[in-house]
Amino acid sequence: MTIVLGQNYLGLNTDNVSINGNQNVGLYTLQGNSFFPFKNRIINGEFNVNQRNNGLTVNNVVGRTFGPDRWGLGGSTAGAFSVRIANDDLPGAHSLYVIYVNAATSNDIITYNMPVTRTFPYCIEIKSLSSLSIGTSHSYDFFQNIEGRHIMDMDFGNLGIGNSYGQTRYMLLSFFMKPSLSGFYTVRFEAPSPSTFRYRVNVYGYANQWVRYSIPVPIPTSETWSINQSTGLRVNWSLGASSSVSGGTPGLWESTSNVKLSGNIDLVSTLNATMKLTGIQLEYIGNLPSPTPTYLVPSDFQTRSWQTEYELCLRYYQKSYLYGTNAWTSTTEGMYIQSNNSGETTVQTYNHIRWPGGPMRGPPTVTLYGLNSSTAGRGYIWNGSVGGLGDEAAFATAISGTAAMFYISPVTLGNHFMAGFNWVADAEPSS
Amino acid sequence: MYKIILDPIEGRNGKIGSILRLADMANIPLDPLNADYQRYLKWLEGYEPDGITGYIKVSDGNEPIPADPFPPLPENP
Repeated sequence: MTIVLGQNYLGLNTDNVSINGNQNVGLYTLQGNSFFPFKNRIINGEFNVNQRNNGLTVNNVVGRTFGPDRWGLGGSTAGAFSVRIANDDLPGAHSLYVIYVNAATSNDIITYNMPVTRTFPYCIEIKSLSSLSIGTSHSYDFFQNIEGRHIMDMDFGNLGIGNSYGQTRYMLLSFFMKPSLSGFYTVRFEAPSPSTFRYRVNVYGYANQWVRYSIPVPIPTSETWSINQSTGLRVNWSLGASSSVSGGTPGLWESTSNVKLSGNIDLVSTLNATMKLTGIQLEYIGNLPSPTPTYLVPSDFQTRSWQTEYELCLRYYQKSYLYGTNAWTSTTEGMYIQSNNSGETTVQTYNHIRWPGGPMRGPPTVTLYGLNSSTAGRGYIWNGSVGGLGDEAAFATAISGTAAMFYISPVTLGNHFMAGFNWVADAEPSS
Repeated sequence: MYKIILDPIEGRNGKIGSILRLADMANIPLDPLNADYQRYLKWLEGYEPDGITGYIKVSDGNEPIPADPFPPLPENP
């Protein structure tokens, strides 16, 4: 047994140690990196922040929509699957399923009991809503777009450090998964659209069993990658794809339209089939020692304070409503209110707001809500002498990553009125 | 469908303040980093989203609803 201090880890090499009778497994356990406050490049990997859909089940739409913070649902037809936060079935003792470092087309499961070092408060339950016959070139995914600024040190595409000493550098995706159907699923890494540069891996799901997965992925040395506020890398769990966009080689970066590996499970094609995920972590490994170990065992899921995780999410989504209160709720709690004492009776009111959760990734899409209307695009007007006057059409302009201007369109307001706006601001990056 | 919203301060000079998406009354900034603005630009060319990365061409192109006449600024009392 040897201990190696690596670029971003402290490695415990148990090569030649017998585990469950298997000799020379080359198990390489990552112990370190927890000192790095952003070790896990996935945000909200334990689904502990849910500003958008508190307590709600979310169905996919055509294109994309979002469930818990940072997690997207993508699909070619609406209503193929849903997601909900669950806390009634969480991983305890579990097995570890690993992909070989240098032979990603192969994989193996190490069936010794992993020590349970922590629990998870929530998981995401993805559920098929029908026995969908997937249309030509259609696909369905659960995904997270990782901002380029959050992976810029990994040097995708060899812009800077490259592969020092000629060695491949690695990142490691780990997660807990419990599907209802046994079989192979596709996990996919890809450059942002319109690039089709992709890396796909088979992971074997065991029906109704929590397994922790460990997937080493070589840092690609070609293609153009973002290191700014746009999407740098997207991580996807394929929930189904037509045969016309399925195929290709697992464990290889390549330009391909195939988003799923052939023969893998189409979750959306089995009514009520489920997949549960939690503890999702993407950590940067860098170079590995020579000889290259056979397996990589991920370090523990990084515990960040809830406040820290919440603040990371605020870069992509903020709202006036209190945490736990969904948009459309008729409430003045958190409402942004401005008074106007000009004495004018037919005017507009302009309200410059700075995002209270701090600067966002970029200029967000802003939706305004009043108090009474079931229609978005409203603000609420009060008058000092007669009370509430009701919802009126309202707009947001001059939107930036730090501020925006809200205004009410011309209407008879009465003297000395107040205008109130409930709002949500969405700055999730594009795919 | 989308509608042009003039800037409330400089709209008299034709400056656009945001794009209103009528389906959900969302105000979209004119910024290439914004995902909804990117989709709006594709919509102008006749594309609709398909999956999370793709678009499908469904028409020759689209035009947004023009902006309302520039609203008056409040006068000093």
